[in-house]
Amino acid sequence: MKNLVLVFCLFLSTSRLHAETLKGAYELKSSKVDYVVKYLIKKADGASTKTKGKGECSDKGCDFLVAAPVKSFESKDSNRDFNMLKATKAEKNPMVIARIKASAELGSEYKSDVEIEFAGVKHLYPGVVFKTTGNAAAFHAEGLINVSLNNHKIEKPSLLGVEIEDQLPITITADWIQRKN
Amino acid sequence: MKLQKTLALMTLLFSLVFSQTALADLELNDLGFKQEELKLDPEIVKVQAEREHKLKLHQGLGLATMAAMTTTMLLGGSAKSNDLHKYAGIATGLLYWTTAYFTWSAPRPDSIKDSGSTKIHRALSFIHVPLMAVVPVLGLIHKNNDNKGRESTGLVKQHAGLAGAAYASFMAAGLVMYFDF
Repeated sequence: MKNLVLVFCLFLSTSRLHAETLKGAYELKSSKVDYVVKYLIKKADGASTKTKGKGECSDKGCDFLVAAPVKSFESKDSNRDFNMLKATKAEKNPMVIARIKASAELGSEYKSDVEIEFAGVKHLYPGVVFKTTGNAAAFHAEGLINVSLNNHKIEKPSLLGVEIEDQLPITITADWIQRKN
Repeated sequence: MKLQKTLALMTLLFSLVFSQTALADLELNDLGFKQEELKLDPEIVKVQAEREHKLKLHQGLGLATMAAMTTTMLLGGSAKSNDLHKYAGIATGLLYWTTAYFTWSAPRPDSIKDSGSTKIHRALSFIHVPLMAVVPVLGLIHKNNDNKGRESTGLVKQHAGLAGAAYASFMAAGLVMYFDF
């Protein structure tokens, strides 16, 4: 029985150690935003590494801001990238912006609410889980958000009259470092 | 009672000011994007609508040409006994060159370089465009020879083979836009 209690205490202490508390300002060291467009019979993907971001954490929680220029997204097809600029109204809304709200407790699964501003329209995606590694000083986070084009009033491009799927899975990969004052 | 109300009001004001300050820390402007990172090439903005319109027509007519060309190929076997192959060929030619017109006349900003499927699509046009210029003329001569009971020789005799090559390259150019090989 004593051993069982000891093991339980050890488990509690290690799990407590794993949850790091984020505090202060964070800078985006490197990041990548990927998207997947689903056609009827094929998939296409694109990515941007020209993202910038910052974060602020206090006892009440964390706010992170990540943004990428729409024109920085590149797929394997130049025409698709060109059409994306029109579909997402990039001239008026040149950025894709993610505002992430989460608790200050960083666990291996970091649950957050993400507000995406895409084509000038904001939509909140609650309960997005970011898988994280690292600690409060520097951590890596990766999360998938199933963005709906309808939510952002984006006219879906079509290939021979068949529109692309409404769901646009977006993966945000980010390496954050705590800013030293 | 009055004191309680004043305290509540002060707390509310304080929390409002505090939340405003916290939000102000995460402003997009602070991310340091330069205008040139966000602004679209003015040439792209200028030609976006016209290019999209013409390429949509190119897509639709391309599909119609694929159907007409397949019909022409299927009717090739009965070319000696009736004129169906000839008329299907004329329709195919008209559709083909109209399709080509819409891609050639679509404005293309210098910043757009062919890549991926579009690059293969365009490369295949170097095969089917010259063939589609030659094959109908050869077909006409072949048909005249048949009508006069003369045996076709040389390049004219190769009409079917060259038409097959044009068909294969054109279909591949169309399908490459729908499938990832």
